[in-house]
Amino acid sequence: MTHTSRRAFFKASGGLLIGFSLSDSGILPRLVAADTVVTPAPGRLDAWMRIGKDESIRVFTGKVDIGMGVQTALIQVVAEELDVAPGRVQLTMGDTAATPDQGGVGGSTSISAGAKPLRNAAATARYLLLQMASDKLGTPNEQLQVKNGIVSASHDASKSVSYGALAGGYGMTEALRVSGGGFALNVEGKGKPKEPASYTVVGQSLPRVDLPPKILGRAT
Amino acid sequence: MAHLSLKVNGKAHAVDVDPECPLLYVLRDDAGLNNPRFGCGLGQCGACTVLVNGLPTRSCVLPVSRAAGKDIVTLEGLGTPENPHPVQKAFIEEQAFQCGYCLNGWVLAAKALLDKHPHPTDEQMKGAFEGLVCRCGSHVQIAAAVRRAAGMKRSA
Repeated sequence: MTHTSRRAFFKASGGLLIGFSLSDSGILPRLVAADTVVTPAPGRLDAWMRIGKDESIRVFTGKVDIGMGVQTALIQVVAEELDVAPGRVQLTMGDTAATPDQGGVGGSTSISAGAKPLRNAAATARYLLLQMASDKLGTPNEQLQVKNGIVSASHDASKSVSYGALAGGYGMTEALRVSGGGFALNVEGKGKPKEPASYTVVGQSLPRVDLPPKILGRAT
Repeated sequence: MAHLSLKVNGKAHAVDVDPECPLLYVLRDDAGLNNPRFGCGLGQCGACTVLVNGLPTRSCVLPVSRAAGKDIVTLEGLGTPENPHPVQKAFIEEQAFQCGYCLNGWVLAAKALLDKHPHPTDEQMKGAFEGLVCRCGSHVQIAAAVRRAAGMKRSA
């Protein structure tokens, strides 16, 4: 292969103009990737989160954190709806093979729009887990409470079961109603998100989870 | 091509490279040490900073042959997650950075500054950070982190 400078190449070709509009740029990557990568369809709960038998909570978002701290904020949103400690939520971001397509990031919309499907999916997951706990413990929903991912009967703490024990084998394949697309993608299910007045995690100023690895030179 | 040995964070790395190749590329591509970043390639932004014998050095304009036989320290060599360097701890506590692309230069420059001037004046800080760039505009928080690491009041 002969080496040529970019300057020489453009001079030789008599100038080169490549242009494509922003709308086209949404199509081009899809054409290239079409037969190699399948982006998860958003209409199922397990496209957004999975709870393992080992009590792991893995959440998937198409959004990425480019320094605005949204990784930490989205973890707070999910932790709030699920009633788990934020430190337990593992967030996978912007992986085209593993996360639903939420467009990109921009316009300060990652929380105002991007958090909506996560919030709704987490609320639905909590709803389903409560149903399962109710069946398992023989206790009506209204008499159940959740703390740190453990569902227990309000009047009898010995009657309890963890999220992992409930969901671990279930697979969380519940269908969700999809609306919008890209930046405006939303899903809704049986669970309704909490009222802001009851928030204990959202609204707190938590340290960013991604800063320590970066400042310690160990970010991957 | 030349066989060189680079001492980075106390460990020897044997490389086979063009002696004129900037240290930045040898560290990243040959030694797999990705803390120093490419920002400008002209020594004008500081993203490529490493400490060479304790001095902040722009690795994008330093031929690797000039770094052989010297003590090179990259960001991860300052401390560990279990035992962070006080400067790293201060930056984490201040939540000083946004995107983080430039942080390599600032943290290393801050460490070198405080080694020399434990309670730096504004002028000394300005001098140490000349040639460092942060496009996110985190300068106020960065300065607060440096003063925090020095045990000083957070703002001037």
